[in-house]
Amino acid sequence: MKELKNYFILIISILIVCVLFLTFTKPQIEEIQAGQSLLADTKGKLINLTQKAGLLSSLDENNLTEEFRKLNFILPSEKNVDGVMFSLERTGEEASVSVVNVDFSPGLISTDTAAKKNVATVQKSESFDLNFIVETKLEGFRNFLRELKNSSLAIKIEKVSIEKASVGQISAKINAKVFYKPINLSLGDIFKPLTALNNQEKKILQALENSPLPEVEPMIPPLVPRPNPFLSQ
Amino acid sequence: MKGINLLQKSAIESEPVLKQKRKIFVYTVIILVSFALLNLLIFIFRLKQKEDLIKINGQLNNQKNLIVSLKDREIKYYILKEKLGSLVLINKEKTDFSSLISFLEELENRGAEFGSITFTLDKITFSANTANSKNLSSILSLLVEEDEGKKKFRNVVLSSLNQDSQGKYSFTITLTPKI
Repeated sequence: MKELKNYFILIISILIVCVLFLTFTKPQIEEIQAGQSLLADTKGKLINLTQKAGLLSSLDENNLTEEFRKLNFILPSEKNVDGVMFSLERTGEEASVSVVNVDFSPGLISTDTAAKKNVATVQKSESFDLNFIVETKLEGFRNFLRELKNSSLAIKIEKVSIEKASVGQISAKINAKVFYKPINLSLGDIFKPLTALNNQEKKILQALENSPLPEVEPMIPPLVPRPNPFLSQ
Repeated sequence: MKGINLLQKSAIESEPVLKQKRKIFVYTVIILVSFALLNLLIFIFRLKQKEDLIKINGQLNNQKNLIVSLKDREIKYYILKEKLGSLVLINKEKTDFSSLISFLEELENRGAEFGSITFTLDKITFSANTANSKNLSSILSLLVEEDEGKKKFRNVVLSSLNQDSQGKYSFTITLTPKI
């Protein structure tokens, strides 16, 4: 008993330390852990935002507008009949062939439904049918097909039927699909990353650099409002 | 001579007991001081953590302001990127039909006179006629011969073959290109 009395002060100290640890120190440690995870999360967001801001700042406004304009002509957000006519005529001229009997079936060419839908989705490319006839020699037709394949036009040939028209001349009926890309634009959360252009995408832009396209002001699709970036962290 | 101890027996503590008490006291102090130090460290760490968080949040807000100010650019870039991605896929699907025309020209050089030719993404059908069996065999051999050890077409179907009274051959062939 006397021996135990000697340990009294030590036992009391350990008990006090235990109680203080459970009531004060442990919650502090837990808060530190939560703080560390918040810090790591915020650092990650900062890195993403810094990259995004860096990418946006590095873009040349004039170049971007020009590329945007050309790309909207090649792959419009809606069915662009004028654009297809212009492109076909130009490709025909470059290959010295005459394009006749152009027949479209674009259907609905303008609607306001997309603007009213508050759905933040980017739809896949859509297409409509295009049929036309090319009258030329076999060699000229080969050049025309090559021009069409190498051009940046969003046209895909599905079927070609060739008939002999007269001596040395052929008449080729072409069934193709013309693509357009409806975009119901939502920039989404400010933290949504922006990826840099890959090599294939850069190649397309390079090909467009010297491409003379008509001066058509591109239409920016209706914007779904972005959540307040200063409320979400 | 025997020594006389005037103190009560209980009042005298032996040397080992005193040592033990001192040891216990030292342990107690060590525990309390360590605990106090641990809490001090935690306090300092928390202060630093808060300071870091405030600093990073400040930087985050600066970046947000910058991005908000570049919103027009972001919209254009976003659409540009989406459309370029689609164009890459569309371009991959485009078939080079011009090489088929070159092939047909080669057949023409071997004496084939084409009537009609139809090609889709997965099938080429043509009807033609040729003057004699020598030309016919030359045309057929071009279709089935191997190019660098590989067949040019997956399938070559001779759908019809007729010889008219003048000895001319007319035929229809369906080819399935390799995908």
